[in-house]
Amino acid sequence: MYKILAISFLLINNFVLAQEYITIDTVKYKCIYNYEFQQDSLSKYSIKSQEMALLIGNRYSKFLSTTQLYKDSIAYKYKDETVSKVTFNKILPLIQGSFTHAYCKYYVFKDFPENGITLLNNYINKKNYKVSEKIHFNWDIEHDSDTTILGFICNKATTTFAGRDYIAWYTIEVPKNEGPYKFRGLPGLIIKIRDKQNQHRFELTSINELKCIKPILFKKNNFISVSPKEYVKILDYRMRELFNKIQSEDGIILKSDESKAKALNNVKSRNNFIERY
Amino acid sequence: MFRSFYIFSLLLCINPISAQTLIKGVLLSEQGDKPFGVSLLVYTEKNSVDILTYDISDQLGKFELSISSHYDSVLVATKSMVFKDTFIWLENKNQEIEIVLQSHIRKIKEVDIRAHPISTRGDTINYVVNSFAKKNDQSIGDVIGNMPGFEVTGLGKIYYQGRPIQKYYIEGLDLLEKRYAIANKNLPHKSVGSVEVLQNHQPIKLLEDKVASDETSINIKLKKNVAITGTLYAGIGTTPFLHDVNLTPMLFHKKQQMIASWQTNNIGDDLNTQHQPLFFSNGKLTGHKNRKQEYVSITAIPKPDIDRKWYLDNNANLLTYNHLLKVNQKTELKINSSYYRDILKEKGSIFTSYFLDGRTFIIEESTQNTYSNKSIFTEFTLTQNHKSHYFTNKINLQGYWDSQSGEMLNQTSLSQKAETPHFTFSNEFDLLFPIQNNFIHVYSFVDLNQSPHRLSFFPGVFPNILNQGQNFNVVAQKYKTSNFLTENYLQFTLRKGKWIYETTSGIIFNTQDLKTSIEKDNILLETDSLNNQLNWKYTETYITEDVQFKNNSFMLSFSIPFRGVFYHIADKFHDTPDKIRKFLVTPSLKFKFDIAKFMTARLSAKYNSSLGEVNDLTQGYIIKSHRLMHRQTNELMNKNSYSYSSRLEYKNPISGFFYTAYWLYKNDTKNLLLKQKFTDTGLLFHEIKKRKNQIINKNLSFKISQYVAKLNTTFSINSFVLTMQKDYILNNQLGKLTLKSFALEPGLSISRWEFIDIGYKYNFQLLQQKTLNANLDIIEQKHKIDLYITPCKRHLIGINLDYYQSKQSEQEPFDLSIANMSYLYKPKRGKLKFKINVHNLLNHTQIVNYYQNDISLTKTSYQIRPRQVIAILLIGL
Repeated sequence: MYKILAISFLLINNFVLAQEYITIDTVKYKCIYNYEFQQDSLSKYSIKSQEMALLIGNRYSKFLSTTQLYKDSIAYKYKDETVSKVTFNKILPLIQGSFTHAYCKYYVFKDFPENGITLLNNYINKKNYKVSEKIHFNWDIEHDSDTTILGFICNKATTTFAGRDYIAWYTIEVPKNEGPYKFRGLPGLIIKIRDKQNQHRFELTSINELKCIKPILFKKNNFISVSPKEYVKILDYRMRELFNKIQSEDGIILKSDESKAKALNNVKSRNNFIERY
Repeated sequence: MFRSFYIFSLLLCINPISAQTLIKGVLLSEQGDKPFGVSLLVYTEKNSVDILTYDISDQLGKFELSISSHYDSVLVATKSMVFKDTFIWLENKNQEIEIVLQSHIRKIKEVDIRAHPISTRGDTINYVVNSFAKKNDQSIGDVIGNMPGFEVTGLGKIYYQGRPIQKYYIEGLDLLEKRYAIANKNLPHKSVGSVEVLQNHQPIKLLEDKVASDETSINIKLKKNVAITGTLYAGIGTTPFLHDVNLTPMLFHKKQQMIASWQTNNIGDDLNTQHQPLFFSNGKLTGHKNRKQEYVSITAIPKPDIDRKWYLDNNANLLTYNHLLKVNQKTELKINSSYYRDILKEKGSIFTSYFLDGRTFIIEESTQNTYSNKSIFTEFTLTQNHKSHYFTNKINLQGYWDSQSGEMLNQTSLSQKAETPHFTFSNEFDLLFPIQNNFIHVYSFVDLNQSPHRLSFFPGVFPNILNQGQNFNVVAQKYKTSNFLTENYLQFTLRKGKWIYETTSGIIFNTQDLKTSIEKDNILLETDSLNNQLNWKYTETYITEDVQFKNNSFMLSFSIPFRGVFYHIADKFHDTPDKIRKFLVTPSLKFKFDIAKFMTARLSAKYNSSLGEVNDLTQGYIIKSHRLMHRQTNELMNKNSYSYSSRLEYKNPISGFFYTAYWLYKNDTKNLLLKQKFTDTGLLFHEIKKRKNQIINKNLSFKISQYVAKLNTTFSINSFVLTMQKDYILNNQLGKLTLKSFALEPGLSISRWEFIDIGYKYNFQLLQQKTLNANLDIIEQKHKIDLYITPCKRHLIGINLDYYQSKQSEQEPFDLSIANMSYLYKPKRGKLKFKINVHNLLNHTQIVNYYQNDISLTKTSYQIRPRQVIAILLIGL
């Protein structure tokens, strides 16, 4: 129990303290995507899934895991309180048991007119990284292929991004040039997108117009700016580091050899981030 | 469209520097702003879904559309969330335009499939239990029965899309194996979060991702990781004195699972379904090798085709204990044991018409039977199911002490008594390990079993044959077998890309001592024609070649077993060949392919050649009933059959639409035919005649269900048509039997409203039979209405109405309505619930049913349970 508390405390520390938020827009539409990905490029059966949210505002959009969205909204609510036993007791039960896969611990901000895309990651090795880029997706519209997904008439388009070829289905019924992750640039919302090897796929599961006013928040931390390539390297490096840490049991207490082997395997199999260079 | 595309491509070829036009422009809002992020789409015709090109307006409202098209004019459309759609026809030439947009807030179609009660993720379909639970449902089995695509039979067997499920997991562990009815009937649905349907599930971890499976299993996901749950209730009632007790505690933990149960009742709830394993799995009989066989039995009254609880007169006890322990990540240790004791009574009359050449012989008998069943079963299983290997060893002990007795009132009365004990001890060993990319599978099964059966009649029957026409006191038919059976095989599996080759070589050895004899007034009758003593050994060696190919949407498998069968027989009394050899080949071919996202088709073709059992070489007469003596010939039945089947499945979890269509053609050719001789004294003699004969079966069936989430309603229609043709011999006359059967069962279940649940089902069955001497039409109709009403919180009133009608062509139809009422009260505090049931409110006493076979029609009236009142106290765990 003590251990759990200690870990939770670390978590809270991580997200309650040292966060400064600025409101950049308000959420107009909230889309939920189911993100399924093969974390191990060699095993077709290493499929993980994470529920992701795309918050669309007038000028900005934000893409993050729903668990992170939930945690952030709690953190935002208690942002003015210092971490005391009281807040601790309030927050702990709320955030217990919600985890975000290491490959989904990011925020992707897209701004509309400028076409800028910013990826933030709030902790890899207790450091905050920021990737800013301008991506021009070269979409090929496929003629004569349309289908209905979730009741929306969708058209097919293909593109290449960060080492993978993608097939996307978008709908003009929602004329927003938006999509999951960094994807955008089609005349309608991307309902479904997957790479040709079917290792990463996003599929819309719900879309709602927001009736109440919710801000799109941007975290103002000290971010280290890196290039997309460097970011992938850092992620890989982090996995390797974690692997070594588990192997040498450095700061990580594991119940048995078996859970150690399991943890090692799990970390080792994380070799297939969505972007690859 | 194709043609225009073709012409278009042709034009491109002719004029490689195709005309490329550039339309530049700027957007303006009515307020003079420069709208950004507006989609500009270029079409060649209005209402098309196909766009030629597009652009999105930039920060300054500017856009550029470069069009390569031979069309004279194009349609430019603007689409945005905040402006009205605009359409402008433009000449297809370089130009600059300005478009003014009018403000308009677009409403989007909001959708959400996450909250949908059925969802899919890869090969898994998830059913949220809450969404399908009705007010009166207690166990998870009740709720599974409501889920579209599922079917739960009266015996507790679960079917998904018309096929039996392979495994029933609870939190990923297979505690009960084929006895899953215990959990299904007693696990409260309130403890369950969801039911996962695992399609193409491979239970052996080593073979996961490597050897494809076509089977479906289900996994019960509990709401809590560690759960103590179960069923606890006790009730008493009248008349006669009724009791119904169920104490079933369950424990589910990551490391261990336990289900214990003590149940006793005399209210017609059949407990044997929780004791007997459901043998049929994977589309084939498994575990049947040491199954108890009834070699003799008293004359039973055919059971009516209605819910068993209406007529089952029981006094049952069940004690079972099941425990699974996960020793470590790899190893599971399991004990399953069960004791069952039941006394079943039945009463009714049997009215049989035998259709003879030009006349009908009628026999009427009324019967009262008592079945006393007692059995014990214990099984120890050690399993290692791991990525590196698979190992399981199972030790199984079973004992049955069953007896039956009956009183028959004819012109004279007759008592009959049968004892059918059975004992078996078996061991099953299964080991699978990989060698590089391939697998070796070692399997061994050993079983010892014994069945000393006895059937006796008082006064003695068949006096003409057994006692020179003189009446006598008692006659007993003895039938005793003892068996030793072992099956062993070695299997190699080779994988190469998408192909899997499997070769299995095995040996089955079976030795049996079979002895039958007839005793008259406790003196053995030594006439050869009334005795059998066979000692036989059966050896089968086989090699099976299997080839399987699988890719994402297609699976093909071909199997060809070569079987060499050898019998060595010593027959003490009769002239039976002492050696029989036969070589059998039984190839089969299967296809499965995904036609569309939710649609799968399966095709299969099979040829089967089989040889009958040695038990069928009993050339001495055996008394089967007070009217039937049976003897076999010295030749084994040789059956050759071929069959084709196809199945189409559609599962759309988003729309909740499920259907299955199934078609089967089967042709059996046999070398032996049953010869029936009916005497003027109403006795039947069965002999076997050498004669090639055919049985042709055709079967077509549909199952359709639609779940409408918004209305919380399921519609379903099940239907089948089947025809059968076969030969028969009655009194030396050869006849042909043609049977046609049709059934239709539409149903509706509505849980839309807070205060009422409605269920309705109609069942229509028509059976038409043509034989040489008779044409029969039997029609059965059933209506079933279930209403559960909550007039105010904490009260639940249930009304069940069943209407049954049976009609045979020439006779008046028989009608029966059964009404049931129940009332449940749950106090505000505490875990107690009170329930009162009134069964058979109208106090009807019997049900009339018709059964036909090739030579006769039987009309039975079966006594049903009278009006009864039961009060039950339930405790929630």
